[in-house]
Amino acid sequence: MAREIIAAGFKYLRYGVIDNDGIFIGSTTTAPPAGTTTNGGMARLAGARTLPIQIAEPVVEAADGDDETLVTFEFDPAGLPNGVFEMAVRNNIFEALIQGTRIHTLSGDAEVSVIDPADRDSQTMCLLGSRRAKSWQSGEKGAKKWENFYIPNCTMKPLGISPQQRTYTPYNYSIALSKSDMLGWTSVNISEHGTTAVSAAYIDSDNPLHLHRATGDGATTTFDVDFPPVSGAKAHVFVDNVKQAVTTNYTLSGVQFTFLVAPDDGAVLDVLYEVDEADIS
Amino acid sequence: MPNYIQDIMARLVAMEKESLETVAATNNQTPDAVAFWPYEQESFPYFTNRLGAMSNLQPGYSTEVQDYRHTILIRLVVDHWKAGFEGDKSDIAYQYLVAFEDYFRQHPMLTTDAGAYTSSPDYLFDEMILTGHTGLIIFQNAGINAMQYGIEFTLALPYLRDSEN
Repeated sequence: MAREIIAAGFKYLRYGVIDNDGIFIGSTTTAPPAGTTTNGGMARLAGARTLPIQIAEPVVEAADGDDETLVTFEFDPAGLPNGVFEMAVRNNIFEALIQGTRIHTLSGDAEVSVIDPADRDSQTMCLLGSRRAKSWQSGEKGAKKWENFYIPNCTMKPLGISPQQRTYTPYNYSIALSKSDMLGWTSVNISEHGTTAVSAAYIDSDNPLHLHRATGDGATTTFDVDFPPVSGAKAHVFVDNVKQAVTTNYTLSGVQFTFLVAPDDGAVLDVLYEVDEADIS
Repeated sequence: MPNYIQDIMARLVAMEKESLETVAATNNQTPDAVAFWPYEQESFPYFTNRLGAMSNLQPGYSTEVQDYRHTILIRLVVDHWKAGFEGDKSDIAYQYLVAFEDYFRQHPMLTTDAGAYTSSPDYLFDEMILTGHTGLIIFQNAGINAMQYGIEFTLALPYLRDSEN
């Protein structure tokens, strides 16, 4: 049976950092040290207004004969989705991260955050957005759902502001998506996804999603995430790209996952899990 | 089994009482609420609720999916308009106004912290919006033998209907 869903306004947006292999490493440029989950969760980006991630249409070129089209060629668009991302809230940690700059703290709590640096270091990011939705398929039409969209690889740059008197102006950012052969927690592959690279993915769920990263050290068996997952069945745990099974491989209690066997030293642990909205901060 | 409008009203009654519970206690008051209007009582504060205008957003989602906005008019009655010392009822009204606004902003899916409505209803498509209020006014209630004093809020509730079911 087809899954049909209809979504409402945009609610949550989270960002994370990916490494050169497209693997999600947390909310900073350094993956959590082995055996810990420090900074392992995606960070929330409050105040997102518009996120231009619409997929560009393919370019179609026709070869015409005297009075008819002989053949058409379809090419991927020259540029992947890109545009201006509007934010109502400025987050200086996020801005420093995407530019490779630093926040300088003056005396007191004054902070200097620069934009448009001379030696900008583009940071590849991933985004996870969540919006309220209703199931629209026969038999459960109207049931509460969440539609999440995951952007596995993008870069952003602050575009500054255009202040106007007595008028609200957003903080603007350019965003450009790239195709990735990783979904952050697993590879994009023919057998599961029917392709080998994507620029976006929808994930339907009963609650908003969150993504967390940890690194094994061969001895540690317990790892904490930021929010209590709704259940073990609604927490999708991957170790080095391999899906783990609740009870068989791990158990869940509150915010803590306990593995029956400690993940190997350097093993990449990614947890994509549903969180009750009441538990989100 | 209540229909969705009756359920909205029942939820609002529970939310309104909960929203002022703490602040009203500091004034030795207990908030009350009823799911209908017109209505009056002699203990304050209390809320009345009535269905306001409904609009169908055009263009909507599609011909199969109708996108509606119901408005609900919530009246917070603070006291008789000449009750108390000069200024003290205004001060209480402002306490209740802020408590009400905070609570409704923090419970946008028609839920309460305790009781029967801790989970959101299926019929609500997106978060409700407190679209405005009248400011502090004297209610001109024909047929009610008291000039009352309070604030009327307008709440907008988005929901979807399927034209085929």
